[in-house]
Amino acid sequence: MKKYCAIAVVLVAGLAWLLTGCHGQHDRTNEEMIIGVVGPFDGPDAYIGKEIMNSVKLYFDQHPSGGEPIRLLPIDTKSNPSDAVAALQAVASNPRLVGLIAFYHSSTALAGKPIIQEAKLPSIIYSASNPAVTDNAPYYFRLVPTDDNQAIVLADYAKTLGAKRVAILYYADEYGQGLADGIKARANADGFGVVSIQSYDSTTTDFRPVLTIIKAKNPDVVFICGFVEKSIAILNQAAERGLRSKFLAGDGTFSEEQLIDGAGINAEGVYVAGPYVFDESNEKNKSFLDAYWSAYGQGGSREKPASWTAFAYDAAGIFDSAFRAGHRDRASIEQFLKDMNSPEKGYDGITGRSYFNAKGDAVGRQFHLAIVKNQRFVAAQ
Amino acid sequence: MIIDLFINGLVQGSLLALICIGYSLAYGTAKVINFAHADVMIAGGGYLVLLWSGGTATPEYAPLFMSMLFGFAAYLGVLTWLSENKVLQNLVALGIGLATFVATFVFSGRMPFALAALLAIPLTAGLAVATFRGVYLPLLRRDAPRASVLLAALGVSIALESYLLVTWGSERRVFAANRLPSWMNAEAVPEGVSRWQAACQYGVLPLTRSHSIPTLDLLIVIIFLAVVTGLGLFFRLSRAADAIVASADAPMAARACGIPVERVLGQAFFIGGAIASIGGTLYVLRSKSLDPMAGFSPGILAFAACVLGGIGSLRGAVVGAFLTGLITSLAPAIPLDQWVRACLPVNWVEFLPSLSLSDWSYGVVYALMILIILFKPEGLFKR
Repeated sequence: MKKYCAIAVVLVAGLAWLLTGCHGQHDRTNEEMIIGVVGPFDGPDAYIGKEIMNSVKLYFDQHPSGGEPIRLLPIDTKSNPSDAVAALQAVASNPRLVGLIAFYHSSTALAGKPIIQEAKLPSIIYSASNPAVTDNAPYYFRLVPTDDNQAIVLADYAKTLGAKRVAILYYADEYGQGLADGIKARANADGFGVVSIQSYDSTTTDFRPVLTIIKAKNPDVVFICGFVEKSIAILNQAAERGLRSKFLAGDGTFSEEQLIDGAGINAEGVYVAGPYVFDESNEKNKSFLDAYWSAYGQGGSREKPASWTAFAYDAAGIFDSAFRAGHRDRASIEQFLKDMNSPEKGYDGITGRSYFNAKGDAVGRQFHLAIVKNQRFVAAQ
Repeated sequence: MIIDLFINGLVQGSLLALICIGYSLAYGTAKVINFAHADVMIAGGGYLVLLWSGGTATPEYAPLFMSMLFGFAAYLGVLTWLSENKVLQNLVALGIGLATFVATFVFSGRMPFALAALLAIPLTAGLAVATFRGVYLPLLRRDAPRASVLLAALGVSIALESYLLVTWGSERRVFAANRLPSWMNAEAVPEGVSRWQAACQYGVLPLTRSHSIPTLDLLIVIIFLAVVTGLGLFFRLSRAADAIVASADAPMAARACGIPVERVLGQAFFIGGAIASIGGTLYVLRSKSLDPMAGFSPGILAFAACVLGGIGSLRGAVVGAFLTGLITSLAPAIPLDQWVRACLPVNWVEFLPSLSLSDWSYGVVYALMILIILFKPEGLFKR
């Protein structure tokens, strides 16, 4: 009998906890709005996810909402399309989730596309630059320039450098392959020949055989279309092999602190394309950087965060202005973003005035080239 | 180009051979396919980095976790060489274990490279012994079926990986270039620099006008030769080696002769672990970066090399490793995409994905492995 009593007590207590627990949660979720921040919070690119989250958080700390509290929900892609899909599926049906600040990797943006379009979840993209990302995707709005433009900027710069023979090393995903294809397609127009195209993947750590083969082809310029951690290995091992070509890297390598730390002297003279280069003489940039450093600069560090943080910060600003204009649900926020289709209706952020074309890409965005000089990124001439 | 690739293949072969020897020792003695071997190796590499450079390559809480792991490893490692039934010797081992724990915690990030390496090697060996005594030995004692041992080995491998994942985080940590000694950091060599200076200061030793070898790569080959010579002498001259061979070939008879078979097998694991640590350290230094999963790719390649050469045979391990190293290095030079394009009808070519030469090297190794074991199931060299 005692035993049954005990079980009954436990059951009642459990039920009570369940009810009150649910009730409490219900109350809280009813009044908050959730913005999902999608990025790599785990895995090799976790530092990017952290910086993106920091900058979104910074925006909402600086601009506290007058109405409903806004909660930021990290959605972890682990740099991997299948993990991204799983993470998005888990949250897509949450009615309080009204928008996403999304996607570092193009591969995750493409994999997540069907889920997001079906859930009608307006998403502002801060990094994924493969052109196909916004194809048939009415709910994707992209702030960054695309790889079409990046490939042209990179290839044209190789022409400026007088390149006749080029080699391409690309990371085997949508980003790397897309960029490599874009550069190859531009070869005729810029008057150079592609003497070697080689791919690598996340498991590659030894680039020595491939670099030896590239060296034998004697290219003037080597394009690196991949992410910074592998680019470091490529630059270091190229120095080992005595490969003296000029290196031009895509924006996957655009992480100043990481690149200089890992490749040191071997990064000197390398050109890197970036969607945005922070300019401290610009008032808005300066105040963003100062606020970022005072909030997150450990030990007074003044290392610049990755340039995508600027777009993430502006994405937060666009959502905020939608909220302030009274838009509270997915459909009306989507309409708000769609209506940002001319300079007058654009959003004035730290990366300039943002407004979207019919496909959902920000108009007038251009890649910029930086060169490593004295262990710093400076704008290339 | 071919010469450079060949040299690179020899270096890669030396590295793989150092890993293979551990696999071979484990299989040749305890008949265990030790999947955890590569993870032990990476743990050893990581431990060295922790002791030596600390901060840049490891998160703040890593020292505590690593101290715990390697303190325990030290305790078991010492026990393998002492008699464990005596209280005093047990206490000595325990003392050394605790001392390791404290020393790791206190001195992490502040040790000179040479001292860190000297410490990391026996301690990684201790870790290998810990896997043996904690998992394989109880299974062997109970005469467990092969499949169980195999699965247990896989389990140890994943458990160790997860431990490192918790300890280091999943991020791949790239070593800061300015913290490495200059001979380890290859740079472009300016004109008119002497060979010695190039090797010490720029990390590259010029061989001829157009060929050179990185100083670290040269060191890898030299260390490999030293280890193999040492191991050869050990097996030819030492009585401890006789005991290992006896325990491996005829455990019952060995036990009847008074050889403490289990302890001797532990010693074999200890030696394999020590060599793995050397290999792991060199591997980590060569790739200048570290993550908990870093052991997977060299581990699986070394395993293929072992089977190719004949698992359990030391000669086989070395030959298999060099074959594999040379193939993975030279295969990218095969212009496979051109051949395919030349052979296929023109209108097919546009449907092909862009073929990359480097993708094929692992495929060639495994194809060769399958071919060899089809005709010689025991591998090239039988033990």
